[in-house]
Amino acid sequence: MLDYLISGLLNVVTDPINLIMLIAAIFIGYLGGAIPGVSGTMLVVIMVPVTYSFEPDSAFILLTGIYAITAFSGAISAILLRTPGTPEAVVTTFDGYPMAQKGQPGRALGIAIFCSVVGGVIGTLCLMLISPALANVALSFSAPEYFALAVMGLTVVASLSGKALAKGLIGVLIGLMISTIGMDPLTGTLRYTFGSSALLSGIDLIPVIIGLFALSEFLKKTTESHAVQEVISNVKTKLFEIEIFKKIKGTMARSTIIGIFVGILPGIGATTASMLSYSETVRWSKEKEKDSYGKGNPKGIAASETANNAAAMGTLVPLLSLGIPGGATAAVLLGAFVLHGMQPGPTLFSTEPELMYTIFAALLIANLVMLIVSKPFIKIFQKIVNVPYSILGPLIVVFCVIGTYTVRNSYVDILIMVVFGIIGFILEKYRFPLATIILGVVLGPLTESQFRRAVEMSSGDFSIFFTRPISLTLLIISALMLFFPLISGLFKKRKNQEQEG
Amino acid sequence: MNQAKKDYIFYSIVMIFAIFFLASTPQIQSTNQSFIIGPATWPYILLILMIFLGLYGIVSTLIKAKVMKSEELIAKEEAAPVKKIFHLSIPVVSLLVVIIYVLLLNVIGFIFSTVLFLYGITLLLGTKKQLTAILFSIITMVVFVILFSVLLQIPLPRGIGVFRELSLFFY
Amino acid sequence: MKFKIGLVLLSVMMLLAGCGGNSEEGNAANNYPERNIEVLVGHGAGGGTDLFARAVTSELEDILGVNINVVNQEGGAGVVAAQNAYNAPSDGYTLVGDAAFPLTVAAGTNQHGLDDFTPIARFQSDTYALWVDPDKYSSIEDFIQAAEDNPGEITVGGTGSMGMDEFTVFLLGQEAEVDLSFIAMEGAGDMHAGVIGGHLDAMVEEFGPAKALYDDGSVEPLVVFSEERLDEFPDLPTTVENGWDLTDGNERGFYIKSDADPEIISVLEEAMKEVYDSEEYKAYEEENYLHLREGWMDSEEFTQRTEELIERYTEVADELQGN
Repeated sequence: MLDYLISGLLNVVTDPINLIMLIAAIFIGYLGGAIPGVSGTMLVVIMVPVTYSFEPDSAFILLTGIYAITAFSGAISAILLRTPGTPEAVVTTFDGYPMAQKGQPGRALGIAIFCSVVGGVIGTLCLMLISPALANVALSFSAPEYFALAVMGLTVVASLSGKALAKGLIGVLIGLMISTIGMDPLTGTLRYTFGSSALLSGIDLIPVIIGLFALSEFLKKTTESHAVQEVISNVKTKLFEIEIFKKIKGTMARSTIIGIFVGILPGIGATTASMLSYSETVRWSKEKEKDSYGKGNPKGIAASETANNAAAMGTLVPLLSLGIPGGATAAVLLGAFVLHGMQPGPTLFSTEPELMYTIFAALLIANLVMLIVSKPFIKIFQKIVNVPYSILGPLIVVFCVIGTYTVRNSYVDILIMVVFGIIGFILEKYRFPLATIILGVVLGPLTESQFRRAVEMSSGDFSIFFTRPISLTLLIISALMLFFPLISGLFKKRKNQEQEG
Repeated sequence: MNQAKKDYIFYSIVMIFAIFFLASTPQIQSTNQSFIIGPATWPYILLILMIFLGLYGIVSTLIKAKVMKSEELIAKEEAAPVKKIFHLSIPVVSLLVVIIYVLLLNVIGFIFSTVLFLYGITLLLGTKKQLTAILFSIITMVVFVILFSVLLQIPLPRGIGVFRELSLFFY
Repeated sequence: MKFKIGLVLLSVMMLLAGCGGNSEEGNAANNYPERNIEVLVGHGAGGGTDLFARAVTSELEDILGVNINVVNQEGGAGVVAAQNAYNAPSDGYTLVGDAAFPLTVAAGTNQHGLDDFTPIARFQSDTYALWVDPDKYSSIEDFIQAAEDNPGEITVGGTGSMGMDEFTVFLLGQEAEVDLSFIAMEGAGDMHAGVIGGHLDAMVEEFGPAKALYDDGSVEPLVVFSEERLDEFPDLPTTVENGWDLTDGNERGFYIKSDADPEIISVLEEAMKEVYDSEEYKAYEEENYLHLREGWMDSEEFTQRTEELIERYTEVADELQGN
């Protein structure tokens, strides 16, 4: 196996065409992902016909390379502009942007890159070494388990809402309601579309988050733009800072595991993985630290970026070992394999081992090269923060518009984005925990449809959630996590009273 | 406006929102009878919880406000003097400009609405030089059109009538 | 000063716009196509209909000598794309690539039926099969027996709701007189995983996407929804053999607004025929198992076919919705 990997590495590095493909992938992925409105899926779809005439190894170095890099590069605009460059980077805005605003854009980007590389490399290693085992785990998950996973994610709302629990709960409910709009995925019934055909497929996550976070921020900043520009003194970009690493290493370990496990589940995806990982990170933090999330906590960036890169690699597990596309980009890659006359699946490892290991090598190199090439990129990118807001602000608005429009070429999505922009502007002034709405929108479809699907599968037997071991375990864990703070809070109160008395 | 007042307004809006959706929920008719849990069940649960939380919020604010009254400790609002245009604050004007931009997008197309928007908003946000504003808006528009519509082949909104025809020259 | 310059700028633009508008008039059909064509696809990038549209348009570009952009407009199984195409001018530069047109019209979600759209050509008549885990059922008789023994408890997965998959499962249940429980899955990925992982009893799927799983033996077709046995699967029984009149599948083709110039339609029809006969397209069909049934239908045949299908599916939709 090691010799396959070595020959794969050599194949990438020594063949000039393959090397050019890798460099092209990094360049396209880096810039494309950083631009809001250009997603990894879109880039891969555009590049597939281009690669038709290539040798399979060059073609897949290019395609999977782009895929791996865009899993990270969306974070750049998420951190600097509060506009996620790709859907995977949605959660990175929560803490990345506040940190950049505190005058540390270089540090925020550094953490994001370092964590992405760690998540990506470990993800690739898992993909290479334990794919078959992971694929079996993925197969043991079905509707009840997906539902239990979503419930576990939702119980974190208490930690996300800070002191205003009622508001946080309302935020989640609003998010969950937003995700019910459109055609019901199980019965095809229209819900709250009010006769508009544009609402048939519901409200997408991207218009909601761009509105709530990016456009509202623009509106807020317009007042400041008249004030004297405070020039942010450039902190030196360091990709690796030992103090920060010490702080976030636990988060990174946990997020890698969450990322890989959520990533391998077909149809869940990197965005949900980073959301779940973020919630767990908040939950596992010390009580007094919880307030610092959403205000530039390095752990928040680490949670999101480690998990989404690990998940991006995890998504390739069912594709390569079973031939099941776990997400949109994986489906396009599956098409590309077919185009080159191959069928992904267990047989691919035995029929095309060289190609497989060349792909793994390319993924490893692409992830590692990210560390090296990022420094000059960051140096340029972090200067964006110092561009006068009268120029940067309008650019962000155009990015908001295009970033929303390109998701499904829908004009109505732009209107929805503006509405959420206004809502976000007002709610943020009111200090409302906006992240809870995103939590609801991300987990909404998972919660409702998987619950109903599970009940359908068991022909109406609700005990299905408790008779399946994985689902039962996940539900018990979430119940414990939900009630633990309440119980421990009671204990503390009693203790205090006793001491006082 | 003090915090209690804001809370009242917020929770009331949440209630109105929930009641409005609750009123339109019976219109969801399952077109497919064979399902055990219909499409309206989940929204009902969410909306009823939302109304419950809204009520709780109002009541708890009421209690808190009574306690607060005796102390009368309302934090000063951060009311910095704001520059105003036509008696409207800058964010509101910017918002109006954004709304006009978005509405125009579908009428006069991406090319023209973006140039007009960028030109207007940069001046509004304090760019002093005319030339900078004009160059900035045109160059930005060109870059976006080349990047998205030419390279990535995503046709940005074209507008209607003559504007549509004109945009076809470029992408 | 500010406003003056703005005004000048605006008037220059208006002037430009005015000029642009006039020069485009004239006899458009003769030199069609003169510029880029847009094909609206109502499904996300990477799906069956999207890949079909991209495969055809990449050949069509060479034949017509213009760029053709595939624009993905997800929503309501093609309804959003149809709506947007309807709102665009009928100049022949906006086409729709769709698989579920008769179905959405029949279900009532698509307001624009054959009065508003004319089918240009059909490329594929994709073939369904019922797939199961071979360890669970060895033959279609086994499966039907199990369904008779456990009415309503045998789960059959499909993607999306009120689509071709659900109609097929519903009709299968009707024809075979068994009570099957259709489960609408999120996408092909979790449906395949559901069957292999043992969470679903069966799924309806086309041959292309199921091929990889079939090759390594994790799924097996029990019955193919067609009139005749397939050359590639000579041992696989058909629905018609079992006495079930059920051979429907996704029929992928292109549509254009009805009031477009008939000459333009015939230009497109001819060019598409050329694509259909090309070696590149044939190779694509074979790689994806789309060649199992003859796909081509010209505008007239396809219009008639669509009419029949709408009628058939309207009845099915009424029954399915319990009206």
